[in-house]
Amino acid sequence: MLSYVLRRFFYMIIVLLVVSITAFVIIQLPPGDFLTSYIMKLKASGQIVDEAEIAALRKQYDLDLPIHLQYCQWMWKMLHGNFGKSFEWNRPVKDLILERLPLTVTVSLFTLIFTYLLAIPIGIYSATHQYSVGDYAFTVIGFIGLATPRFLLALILMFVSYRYFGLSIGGLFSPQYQLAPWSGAKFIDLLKHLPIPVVVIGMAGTAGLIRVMRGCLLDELQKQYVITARAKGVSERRLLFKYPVRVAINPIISTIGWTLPRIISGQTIVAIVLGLPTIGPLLFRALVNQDMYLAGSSIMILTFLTVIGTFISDILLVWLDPRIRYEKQAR
Amino acid sequence: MGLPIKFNKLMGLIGAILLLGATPAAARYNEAPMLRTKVAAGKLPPVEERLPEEPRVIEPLEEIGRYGGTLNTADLSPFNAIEGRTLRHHGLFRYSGDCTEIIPDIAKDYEVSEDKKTLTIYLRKGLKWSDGVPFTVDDILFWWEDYMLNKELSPIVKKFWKPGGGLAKFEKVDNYILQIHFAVPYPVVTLLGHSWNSAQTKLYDPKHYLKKYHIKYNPEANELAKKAGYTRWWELFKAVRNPGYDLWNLDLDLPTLDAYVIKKVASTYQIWERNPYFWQVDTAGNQLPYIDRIVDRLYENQEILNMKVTAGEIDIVSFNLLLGDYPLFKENEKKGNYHAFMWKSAIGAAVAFAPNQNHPDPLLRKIMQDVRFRQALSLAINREEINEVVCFGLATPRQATVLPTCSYYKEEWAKAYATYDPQRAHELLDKMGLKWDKGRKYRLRPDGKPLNILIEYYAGEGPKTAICELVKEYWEEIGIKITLKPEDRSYYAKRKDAGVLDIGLWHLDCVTELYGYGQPLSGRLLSFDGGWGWAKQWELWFNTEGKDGEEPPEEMKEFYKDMEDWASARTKEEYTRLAQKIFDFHAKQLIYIGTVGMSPWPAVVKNNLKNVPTQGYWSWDSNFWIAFEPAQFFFTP
Repeated sequence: MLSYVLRRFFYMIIVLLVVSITAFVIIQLPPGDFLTSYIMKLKASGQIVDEAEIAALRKQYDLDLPIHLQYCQWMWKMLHGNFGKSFEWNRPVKDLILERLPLTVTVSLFTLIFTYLLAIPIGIYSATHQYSVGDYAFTVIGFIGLATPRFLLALILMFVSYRYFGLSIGGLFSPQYQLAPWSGAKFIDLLKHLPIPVVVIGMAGTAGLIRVMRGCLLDELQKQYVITARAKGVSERRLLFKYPVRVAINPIISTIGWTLPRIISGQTIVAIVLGLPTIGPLLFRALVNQDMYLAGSSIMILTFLTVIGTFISDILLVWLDPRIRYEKQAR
Repeated sequence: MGLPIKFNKLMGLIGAILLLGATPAAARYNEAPMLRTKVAAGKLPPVEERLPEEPRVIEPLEEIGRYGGTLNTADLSPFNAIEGRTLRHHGLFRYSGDCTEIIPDIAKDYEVSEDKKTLTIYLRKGLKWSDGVPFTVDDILFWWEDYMLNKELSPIVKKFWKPGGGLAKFEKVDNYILQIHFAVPYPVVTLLGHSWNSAQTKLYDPKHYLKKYHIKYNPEANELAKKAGYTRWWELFKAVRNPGYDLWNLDLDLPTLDAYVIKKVASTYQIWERNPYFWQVDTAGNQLPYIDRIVDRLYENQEILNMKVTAGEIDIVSFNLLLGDYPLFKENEKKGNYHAFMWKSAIGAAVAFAPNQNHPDPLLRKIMQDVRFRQALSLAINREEINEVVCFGLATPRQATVLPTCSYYKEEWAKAYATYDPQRAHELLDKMGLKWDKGRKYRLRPDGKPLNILIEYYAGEGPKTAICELVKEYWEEIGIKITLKPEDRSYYAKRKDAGVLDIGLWHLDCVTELYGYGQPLSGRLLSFDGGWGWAKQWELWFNTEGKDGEEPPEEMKEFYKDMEDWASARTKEEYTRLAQKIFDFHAKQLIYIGTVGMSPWPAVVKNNLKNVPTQGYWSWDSNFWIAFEPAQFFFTP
């Protein structure tokens, strides 16, 4: 088990390294750099920027170094816990991300809970009541959920709630609570604002999970041990939850790794549309403005989450599924 | 623009009374309740001690206001948080809304010497930074000697401060009088109304606060920087000083002369509170500003912002609104309890096209350089239709030129080739020998290839796409095949700087009397403000004094010289004569082809917010809200 964990850990480091290089190169690919956009903005508004001054600025911010040296510098600083400074915000990247992390995690967690709470029971119901009216109804809803672009859903929900309920739902807080320190009332206000983002972000995932759960469970239900158990008079409910459900849940556990970053990055568009103060829009803005340290560090953090998620799900699987566990021991 | 002008005259009158030695009407000053409590608690000196000897007296627009309230405003980018910034910022001077007058703001007065080589600036005695330390000429000298002339903080002294090649000299006469000497006649004061942190025209910094970050005053500045997570002292200095592009994150303790002091910064909002040492009073002796707090929220996108506006959650906003959304704001006026109205933008052309006269393709270059081609392009544009379709008929169809408020303005410039006459356009192109293809759909270049023109543009700042799509139709009508290609801002900049655009495209600002005059001052003679890149080779030739680039034709050389002379014009007559010569040349040559100008710009103001004008010029040139004296805005209960 220990060697398994260690090996996993080693792979993790390699993946992170490769991603960091890729991310850095991709961010540098578009023409120009942050200073180009900055200077363009100044010029556009009639300010005066000398060519010589631009060169000097570029040198001051090390933008004149070749790309591999810039990368090394970035990595070196990151190893020392210094994620660099965002050009656009004039703030340490760490502060910016930390400021938005709690709300990002909150939204993500609620979405995760929403997804599982809805998908697993519905999946079980659909499998056990295959081809019933309920199954068909959930299937239709599920496919609509899969097929609707999330930003569209967000726009529609926003329009409806604004038009018919007079709610301006942008953001996660009402104006009076946005600036207030944390309190019970503020938390309740947050809870009031959460349903729409959670539903919108969780919709596609839920729909997908329902299908997965239904399919896996259907496979299991036809297996011999189920029939044997039923023949021996095990109650229907006990039978269902003791074995087939546990097996069918396997694919869901093994995809936890992808779920974490998908929720964070997948919500970017939704968060922009809904005006949520999470990391997604921050990353998007950084990419548009070629704010390279912010963009690079955000991507690194997302990657880190993916890798950690995969790691956790691997270990969870071993723990949850005796078959995998014994396989390992046998070897 | 009636109100600010009247207001200026009043100011002049008040100034005159003060100069005559009459005492101000109110001997005692009044202050906001929140400050009075602090004074009572002994945390703040009394208002008389906080105000300068001669505070700037503001005549409220409608009525004397009342204290209190929080002003909610909104921005879309931390980089461009202009709404919040121009609601609180002040400079030594400011412009009147139409940019025809310089109004002393922080400074008390100024004087330009007979030979125009010396500018004297008079400061207000007893005026204090927001932490109570007096503001003196030393703060200006600190900015000049330790910031502008410091190699690490400003690697290059901008051309702007080196007219005629000689560095300006700053001379302290006493604590409140400063003289700036130039080698040549230099009307620099005309640009000083445009104050902005990153600009070379904001002349002061709080020396008492910043010097501990400066290596000259603190040998341990490098260690200080390392402790704060930087590697070199100037990095920390710049971060604390806030060079301007980082308008969002400010040092919370940095003293300011603005009306509000920063209290809290988050990535989604900023909170500002009144500056207890603010140096303006109203005519009844009430210290300004009236409003206690400004909250500037940052929204993720235009749609969210619009929704917050229509829901009535934003008290004041204009910079971040789009013309196309105006009907939406009008429709929700009652529900949101606000009024939506339009300014005039001080823009000569919402879109101006500049055919690249130094095009890398010699055939295209020849076509672009032919004035008949540019005339034909201009005549083919149906400006009335653009006005109706894009600007609700509220803009002015005109050629790309300066605004009518300029003293030297000629009506004919705006009319030059600006009438819709496709027939004449056809004739001009026929005369140029641009033949039709077989189907008589498009014209051909002299080498027989189709005359295809690619218009690359940045789609932001105004209704550029809508106008471009109409213009594409008009130009295809006269046989020129147009392809439109919206681009990212920095990519467009790259293409433009490389001089490879077929036709450059930008909005034409910097066309007001004072601020427009600053353009030749800044040495950006040919590119105007750099948005078009229509003569890169010639520009290079001028900038390198003939060593590089291509030699421009004689008329261009003369044009360039006229602009240089204009910048150092000694008399009003010379100023007017040269300005007219320059813009006569523009009108004849059509370097820029205009569409519609002075296009309307929407604004939304809550009904309980008073003293906000509903007409005037909205422009970068006059620094947006600053021209409307936001310190005298107030809330009725």
